[in-house]
Amino acid sequence: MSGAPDLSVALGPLRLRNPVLTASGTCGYGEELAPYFDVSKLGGIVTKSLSLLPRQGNAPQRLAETPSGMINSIGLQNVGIEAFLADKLPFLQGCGAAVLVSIFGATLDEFAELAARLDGRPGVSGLELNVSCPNTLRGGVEFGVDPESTRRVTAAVRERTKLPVIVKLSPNVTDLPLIARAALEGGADILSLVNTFFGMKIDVAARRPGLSSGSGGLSGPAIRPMAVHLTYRLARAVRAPIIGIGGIGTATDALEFILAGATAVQVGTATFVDPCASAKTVAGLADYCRAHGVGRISDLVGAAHRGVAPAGGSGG
Amino acid sequence: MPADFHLRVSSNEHVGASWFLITLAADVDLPSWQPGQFLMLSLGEGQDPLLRRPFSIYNLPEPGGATRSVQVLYKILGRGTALLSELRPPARVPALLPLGLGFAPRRARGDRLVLVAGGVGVASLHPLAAEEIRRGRRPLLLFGCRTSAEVAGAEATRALGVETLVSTDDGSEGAKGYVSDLLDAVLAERGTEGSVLCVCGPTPMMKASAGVATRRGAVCHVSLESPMACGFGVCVGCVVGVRPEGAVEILYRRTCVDGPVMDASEIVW
Repeated sequence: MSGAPDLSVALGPLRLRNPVLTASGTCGYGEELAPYFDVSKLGGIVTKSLSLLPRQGNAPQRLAETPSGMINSIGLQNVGIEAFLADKLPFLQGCGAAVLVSIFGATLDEFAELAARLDGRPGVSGLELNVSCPNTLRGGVEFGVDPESTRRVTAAVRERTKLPVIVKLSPNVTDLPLIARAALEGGADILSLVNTFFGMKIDVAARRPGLSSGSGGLSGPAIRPMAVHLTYRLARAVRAPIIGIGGIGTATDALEFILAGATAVQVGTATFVDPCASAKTVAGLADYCRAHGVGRISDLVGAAHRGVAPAGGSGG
Repeated sequence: MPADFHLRVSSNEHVGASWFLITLAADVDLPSWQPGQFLMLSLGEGQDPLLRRPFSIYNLPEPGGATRSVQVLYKILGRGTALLSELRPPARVPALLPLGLGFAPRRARGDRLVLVAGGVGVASLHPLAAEEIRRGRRPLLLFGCRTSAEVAGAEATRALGVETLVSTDDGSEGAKGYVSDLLDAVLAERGTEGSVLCVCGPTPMMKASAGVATRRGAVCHVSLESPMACGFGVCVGCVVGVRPEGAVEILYRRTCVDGPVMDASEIVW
């Protein structure tokens, strides 16, 4: 095969130079990664979720390590939209990667207001709605576990922005395709999945939960098989473009999701372990394509479905 | 600028009790660092344990640059440190360094640093002591540990020529009791004037020492430790509550990038 493989992908209206994004809450506002690698190598950056006002987040302790994973309960500590626009967006505008701003509201109106504030901003390529954070009392997963709430919040955002809208789905639901269809009815262009799974660790010595908030969200390689399964299942249920998330830290991990039906992927917890994990994933995908004669990575999207008879999703 | 280095274990010595000193060699020149800065060490290629572990950097960089070796003094406290103690040359260990804000004590000319170490907390104070000695100053080390078996952990610091006073919880060596009590006694005897405290140890020990500092009106810096996933500011998991002068509400600051060394007077213990 001659020439470099084509890693570019299109997710509805969103075009990316390659399918690798950094996941919200694992890459700050992008600039934190700049000392470690050239962030223009990424397909895109999904920012830490922003709220209208700055948020302090939850009291420590916020983290616990678990087998091949970790549980967090950060509580969406962030600088708020004002400080983001003034202090954080300028770096992102010049960073060379697509910038997807994750937004979080406690109410429908807050989501809509955030969308309006970001609409038309140079350098912003899209919005990701965090309707799936497990670590807040109001908003977050409250929206994302109910189809009607998901539809309404997506519609409220859709009304206020021309930007591509991604809805980030929670795995903590019985019927993921039902929620996904509701998001699409509300006007979502793209679905990303999964946010973290509810998880808990008990400190046996102290005889109490390991996190101050009790439970948190489980991430890391431990959740990958479950996330791949949900991606595969969703790809059968909807036609919308999918961004796969869940324990991705290498090109091989990313390929599992792509073959399962994701057009792009997000690298999350792996960045904590190696700040260059996302950049290495991009390089690894190019290597894979070269080694296997794949001219366009988009040809691999959903390839694992071919020749597999439709079947029930859950094992047994 | 921090970076990820593929270091090679050159030695991993038992220092006494469950304490070890690991020396890691680099194939390239390492960036310089300040006393109190830290590194994130990977514990192996596998995914369990998944996260790197933060450790204070024990040695000072070479004065003229061209540093190719970094040391970590650690105590076996859990699974991660137990795995670390099993590493032998020539094992390779990825390490992100140097990270965080180190010691930059607020002091007037002539002030003497009083280093207050609780157990393996001496690991972050040792390079500060070494730097003071290198500059011709005379720091004082107060070293508190559980029993005489752990006193060896401060031997290398004492050997630099640092005046060292020891306390043990069980009285098996030095003063009996907590090092914060020893600090109180030393400040009572010698006076607070001209002393700046730098403290590192378990949280209750740092809280008690910060309390002594407040009571006696001494400037006090503490080097904090929190569970952290990344070490470079993105996980926001390692926060500590602070209330800067004039602030009403508690703010959460990241231990990794806003610390680990912070002004004790601002911390909400």
